[in-house]
Amino acid sequence: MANASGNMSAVRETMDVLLEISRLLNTGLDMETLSICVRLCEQGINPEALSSVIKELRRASDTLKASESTAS
Amino acid sequence: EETDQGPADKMDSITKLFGDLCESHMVGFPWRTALNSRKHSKNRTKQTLKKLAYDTLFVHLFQDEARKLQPNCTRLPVKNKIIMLSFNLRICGMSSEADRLEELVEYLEQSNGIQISDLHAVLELLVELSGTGPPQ
Repeated sequence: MANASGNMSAVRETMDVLLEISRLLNTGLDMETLSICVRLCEQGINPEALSSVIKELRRASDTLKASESTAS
Repeated sequence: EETDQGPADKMDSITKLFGDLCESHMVGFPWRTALNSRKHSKNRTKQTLKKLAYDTLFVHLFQDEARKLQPNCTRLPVKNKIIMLSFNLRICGMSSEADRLEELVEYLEQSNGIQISDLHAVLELLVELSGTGPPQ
């Protein structure tokens, strides 16, 4: 446990690097969503499956937002 | 590579993470108030998104099984894909972005104390989602 804070800062640094790569590639992921995705990858979720899940969630949430604005 | 996960890493269950993922896609929704019953309720929307997320995941799980039966299909290593994307950036006149991208991937590969157990999977995800963000 002595190097727990060292590990934390290493994780944060890695996350910052991943976020910058993500921005350069224009993935549309924010830090919160990216960190959820990293944890899902660590749990063994297939990255291609996960990318499809995200694309479907975006499509659905855009559709829902559009229907909200026409309903109001 | 360390593949064993300690109990601390198991704290986030996949179901919890999928719930979080759905919520991160529900930011900025105009939620139903008591006076406006035509708008969606937050719980109902989350349920809808969760069902969609799991349906999509399951479709891919079956495709994974089918792919295992055809082992001769070639799969490009993720680094090759990133180099190809960085080449695309150069073609679009974004050489400094391409340099930075290659530098960052190199850095991740070389840093030994990496804390993410499946870095290649994360990079694969970023490659899959490349160009899907808002126009820049």
